[in-house]
Amino acid sequence: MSLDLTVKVHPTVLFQIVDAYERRTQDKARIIGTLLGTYEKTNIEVTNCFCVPHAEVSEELFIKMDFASEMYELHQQVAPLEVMVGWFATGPEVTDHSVLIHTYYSKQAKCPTPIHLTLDTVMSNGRMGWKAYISNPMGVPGGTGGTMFSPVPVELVAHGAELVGINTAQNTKYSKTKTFEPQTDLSQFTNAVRNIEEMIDHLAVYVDDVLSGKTPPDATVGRQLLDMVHSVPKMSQEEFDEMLNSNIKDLLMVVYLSQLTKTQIQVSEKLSHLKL
Amino acid sequence: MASRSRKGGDSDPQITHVQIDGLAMMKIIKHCHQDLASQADEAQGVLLGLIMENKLEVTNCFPFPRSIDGVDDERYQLDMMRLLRLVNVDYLSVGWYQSASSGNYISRQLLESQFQYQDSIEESFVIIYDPMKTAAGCLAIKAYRLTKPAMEMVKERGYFNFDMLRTLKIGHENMFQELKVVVRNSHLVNALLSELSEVFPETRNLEMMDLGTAPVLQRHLRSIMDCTDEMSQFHQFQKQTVKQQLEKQRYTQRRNVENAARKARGEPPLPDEDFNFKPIQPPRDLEAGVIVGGQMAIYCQQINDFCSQALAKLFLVDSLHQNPAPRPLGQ
Repeated sequence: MSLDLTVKVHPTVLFQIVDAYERRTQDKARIIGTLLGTYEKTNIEVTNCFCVPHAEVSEELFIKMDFASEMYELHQQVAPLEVMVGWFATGPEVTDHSVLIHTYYSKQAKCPTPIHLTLDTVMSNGRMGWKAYISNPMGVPGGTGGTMFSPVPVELVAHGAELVGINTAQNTKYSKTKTFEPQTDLSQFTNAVRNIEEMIDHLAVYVDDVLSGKTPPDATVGRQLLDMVHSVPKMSQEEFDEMLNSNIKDLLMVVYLSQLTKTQIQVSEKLSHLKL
Repeated sequence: MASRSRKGGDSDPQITHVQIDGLAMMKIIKHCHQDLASQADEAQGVLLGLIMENKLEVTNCFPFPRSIDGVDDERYQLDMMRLLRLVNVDYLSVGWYQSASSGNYISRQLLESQFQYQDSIEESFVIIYDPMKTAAGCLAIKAYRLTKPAMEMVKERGYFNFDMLRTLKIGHENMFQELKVVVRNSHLVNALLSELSEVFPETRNLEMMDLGTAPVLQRHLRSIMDCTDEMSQFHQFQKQTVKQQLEKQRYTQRRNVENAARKARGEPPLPDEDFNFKPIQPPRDLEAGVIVGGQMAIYCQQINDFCSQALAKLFLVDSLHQNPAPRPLGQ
């Protein structure tokens, strides 16, 4: 019951939950599944998940437990470090059945505080939110005990490559066919430059406004701007030119050599095709 | 079951591009990233999806465990596909994926694995994902299939059979056919992405602005140097084979001349013994010229791309530095 527990979730997990929700059979209102990841004392990181078929019929609950254990084993073969850290469900709230499911998972999971993650795929508030809970027993000593799901802060983390993947995927929102073709390196580079340009324009407008008195100055922003300007290394024009030229010369030489190598390979292949 | 495109043709004209779901892409990224940290081996996995008219859809994927003894690939795949079927995931395998750090993926294993897949499923393809390049800023995902001549070559294992290479006219450029890759997301996933864009602001893609070009270039050049060594070994082997062939020809000519002379003199011709020309075996670890050539071509292409980007960055910095017209403060 460590209350300073943070849950870190990777975006891949959310993608999988949404996809499993889309593929559910018609009669189910929500789906559940297992969360996999790693855990330390105050930190649980969720990196993978899989959906488990289940059925909720008014008061009764059926989970395919053999499916869950088989799937878990298969996943262990690929990633032995990922263990069961909890379970997820779609839908905006925690229901009565959740308590049963949670007790089952608490027995299975090696993690001391298994978490329950909900993803609101039905978008009840018009937004798709996600929340995480751990279970705490509650009640008066001597009386009937119950369990309470207390919310835990959730943080979304992604490493570099995942961020790039998300950024590429973001572009599918803007096309009618929901498709997007990843572009060549140079066009991505031009986009990044354009982004920087926009950001600089934005900053320039802000600085102008502050100087002319239209916006009240903010000390933290000002300090950050100062840091940024100071981080540009101060070099005399000759030093800078020299560094620039030597770098350009290196790159041009490498380009020349690689073109030469490519041509050499093609020629040698053509030669080997000739009959002697 | 989805409809399959017609068989036949050199490069299947029906398939124009590969459509990959955002989910599959994220899973590939996650798997390759996780394996990058642990070992230098390639991460591999199976792609699941459908084949529709002129495009191949990849809707899901799952990773393969490493081939350690005791892990049965076939069984793992069958078990996984059976379980996924129960949760309504498409269970038709349309190909496989492999991670390749900085582009070193053309190897005999790749050709043979792809050949096996393509033999059983005509339209299958391999997706090559480069984790290091993606971490540097731009998504590096490519889809390839073997061309018909390449399939022939792998089937006959004729890597060092120069006659076959000549007749098939195989070069490193026409071994693979590249397919366009398109990313697709459903509406609900787009809603999720809108939520995510608040957490990860979209304009943060600044990793590619890094000016430190030296380490990447060094790595690429070192790989090319290794390839050059192999290539020169292959050329030596080629020269030796050619020399041996010439010698054989000369020997048979000489024998024919002698036999003709003996016949003229009325003596019995010399027995047609075959001088023991033992065929020169290629050294055991040698990769075929086509494979090494293809690999080198890829490295060269990558270097070109990388250098053009780096040059652009340098010119950008140059232009920024040349406008030091300072605005007097307090104005």
